[in-house]
Parts: sequence; C-alpha cells; structure tokens
Amino acid sequence: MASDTLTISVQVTHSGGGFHLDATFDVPPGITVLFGPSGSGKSTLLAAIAGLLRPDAGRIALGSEVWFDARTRTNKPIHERRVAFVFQSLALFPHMTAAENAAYGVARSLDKAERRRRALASLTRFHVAHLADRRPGTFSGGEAQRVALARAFAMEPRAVLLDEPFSALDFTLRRQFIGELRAAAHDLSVPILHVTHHRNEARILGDRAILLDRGSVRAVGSIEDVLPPASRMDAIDEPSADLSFAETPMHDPL
Amino acid sequence: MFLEPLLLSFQIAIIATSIAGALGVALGLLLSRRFPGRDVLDVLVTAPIVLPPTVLGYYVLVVLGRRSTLGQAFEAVTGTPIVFTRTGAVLAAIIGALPLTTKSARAALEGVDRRLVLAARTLGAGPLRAFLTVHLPLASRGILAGTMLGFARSLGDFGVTLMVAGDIPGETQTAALAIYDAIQGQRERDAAFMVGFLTLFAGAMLYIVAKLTGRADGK
Repeated sequence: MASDTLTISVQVTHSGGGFHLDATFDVPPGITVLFGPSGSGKSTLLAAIAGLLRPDAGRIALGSEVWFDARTRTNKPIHERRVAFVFQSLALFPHMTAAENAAYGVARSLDKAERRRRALASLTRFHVAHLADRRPGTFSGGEAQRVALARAFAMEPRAVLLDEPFSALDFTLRRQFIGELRAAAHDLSVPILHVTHHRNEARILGDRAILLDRGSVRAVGSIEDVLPPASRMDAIDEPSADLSFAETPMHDPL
Repeated sequence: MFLEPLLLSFQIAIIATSIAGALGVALGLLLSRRFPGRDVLDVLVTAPIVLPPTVLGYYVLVVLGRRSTLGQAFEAVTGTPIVFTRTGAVLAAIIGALPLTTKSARAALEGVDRRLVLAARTLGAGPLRAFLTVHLPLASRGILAGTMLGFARSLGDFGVTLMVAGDIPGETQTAALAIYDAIQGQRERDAAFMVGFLTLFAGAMLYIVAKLTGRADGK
C-alpha cells in the first residue's frame, strides 16, 4: 500500500483571467520537489490533487485507485483521499491543543487513548512533545511548523502535499527542518510533493524535481537536471507573495 | 399582575430563541454559499427588520390562520390552532429573532478561515465532522452573540404577537403587551416595573454581546 505512485494529469482553466494549467507527471514514493516561480500554478495543482478544487479535465490516481477522472466523472471526496496537506498558512486549529491537532487526522476507528498516543508520537518525532497541551496561539513560527508537520504525518497519509511550508522560516531553521522532513519521508514511504521556489531548499530536499512554469511542466528529472542555471534562477529564487489557492475558483467541498 | 407576563415572556423567548438560533445557523450556513436564489432568501430573512409588524402579522394570519390549509393541517394534527395560542406567540417571537440570529451566524461562519475547514477535510473529516468540530466552534462566539440579540428581541416583541397571538392574559399576554394594558388601565406601577426590568435585561444583553463580539474582532 505504501509504495503506490501518484499519477497526475490535470487541466484547469481559469474562468476569469487567462490562467491555464496543463500538467502531467508522476510522483513516486519519496520527495518530489515541485519547483517554479510564483503564479506558475503550483498551489492550484496541489489543491487539485487534494480534491480542494475540481479540475476541468484530466485524471488523478494513486496506484490503481482513481481519485479524479473527468471522463468517468469520478471525483473522490477530499476526506476519502487521505492526503496530508500542509498549508503555507499551516492552518492549525486555534481552538485545539497541539495534541488535539495532531490527533485530528488519526483513524477514528482507534480508541481515544491510542489516537492520543499516536499524536504524541508524531509530536515527539518533530520535537514538539512539550507543546502537546498548549494551543497554537502561543507557538513560535518554528513550533507551529513542527506541529503542522506532526499533524500531517500522524494521520498516516497516503500522500503528502507541502505548500511552501518553510517559507516563513529563516535559513538555519529551514535547513534543520529539511533534515527532519527527509527522515520522516523515508519512514513513511509515500509520494510527497513539496512546493518551493527556493533553489537551495529544492537541492537539499528532493530526490526528484518537476519544473512548472506558467501552468506547464517544463522538465521532470533529477534536481540537477531540472533546476534552471543559476543566472536565470536568481530571478525566481526570491520571496513571493502568498499566492494561496484560495484565490482560484474552488469546487465547494461542503 | 406583572410577574406572570414576565415569566410568560421568558418562556416564549427561550423556546423561540432555541428555534431561531438553530434555524439561524442553518440559514447562515446556506447563505454563506453561492446558489441561485440566494439574494431572494436573504431578502426574505431580513424583511422582518424593516416591515411593519402588522404586515408580518397579516402574512402569518393568511398563511397559518384557521382557514388556511397549513393552519388546518396543524390543527388536525395537534388539536389546537396556531393563531391566538401560545404557539402563535412563539412564532411571532421567532419572526423577530430570526433576522438577527441568521445575519450573525452568517457573518460568524464566513469569518472563519476557509483553509481551516479544508484542512479538517484533508485530515479525513467528512463535511459534517469538519463543520461540527472546526467551523462551528470557531464561529461560536459570533453565533452566541447573535442568539443573545435574538433573545432580547423576541422577549420584547409587540406588534406581531398582538396580530397573531392576541392579548390573552396568562396565555399570550407577554410583558410587552402587559405594559400596554397596564398603561391603558392606569396601573402605572406595574408598567414601570416591567419597563424597568425589560430595559435592564436588554441593556445587560447588549453589554454581553459587545464583550463577545469585541473580543472576537481581535482582542
């Protein structure tokens, strides 16, 4: 179960502007970096994979399990995909403690004590067990980051989507996080798609990379093959505005 | 002479607010989504704020009166009519409270970061669980504030209650109606007591609502 590949072919047309996303690629187990400048469609792509927005055409499947197929009108609901999505804003539940946050995605079939045990184990793995009974309002940026990752991994996801989760961190902290994420990814062994527009982050983190530009896949392969040369990169490798998918038209899940 | 109407007012207002509160959350949730006819529904829910009570009462009598189909159906099932009974008084109170509970619920639900609800969904929660465990708790302060406003409003309804439920002592004569009767009958001490009580109560409600919404706006 843990070694299925995520196969993605997604077309999204923005009804308002001229935005168009047309991307086809595979995400094997392990970390794949989705790299591209702001506005290239990275967040839209992630939202489509998680089921937060319905593509206009295409097909998304994990192994033999089809999540979305425009032709057969298949569209698996968000909560049945079990894709951990770490938002750029982290989206920690402010009214729950870190432990309750981390336990939220743990299988409901387990009893309460076991759910908490798994939540605490995940918090421990990301070095934030001491925050278990505190609420996110008091967390530092790095702490909130760790709790968000702990929550994502505690649910034993079948795929993980990370939307620039380290964008708010300074370089040193980011490096540290990348190490921890790599270790967690190694243990979990599911497809992980990590969005970034930081070249250094991509280099350290990824096994593979996909270069997305203006809604199209420009290259797929090893990090060194895919990342554009440094001179062109400098223009891309800069902090961008928060282009959250919330701005894109969204299939209403509720 | 003044305790009975006050107690009756509270009884009616508690029942009416429970219904208007729950209905307000449902309507608020509905109105926070896009669908054909949303604006029409919004107008219908808001109308009681601006329409004269006599107009609202007229509609209720036409739609739910003893000669209407709905009214007769209700009477056939329960044995009592809607109008000129306590049921009518509760209905009148609901009509007054509903715009307030709905508008507050809608604003509170729309004020919750959508990404939090979506995060709950990606963590395996179905729409209902995400609503009950994330969306609703995070909107609860605003919903509570609206419900308290609705309670204060339904406690003091006069016009629609008079039109729909009449002014029957011990049955539909709420404090607002009893004050009118007391003034007419020159029982000014009774009137003054009820006026004072309702004023204090409404003031306390508004104070709590201001506290609730003030903190929700960002400390």
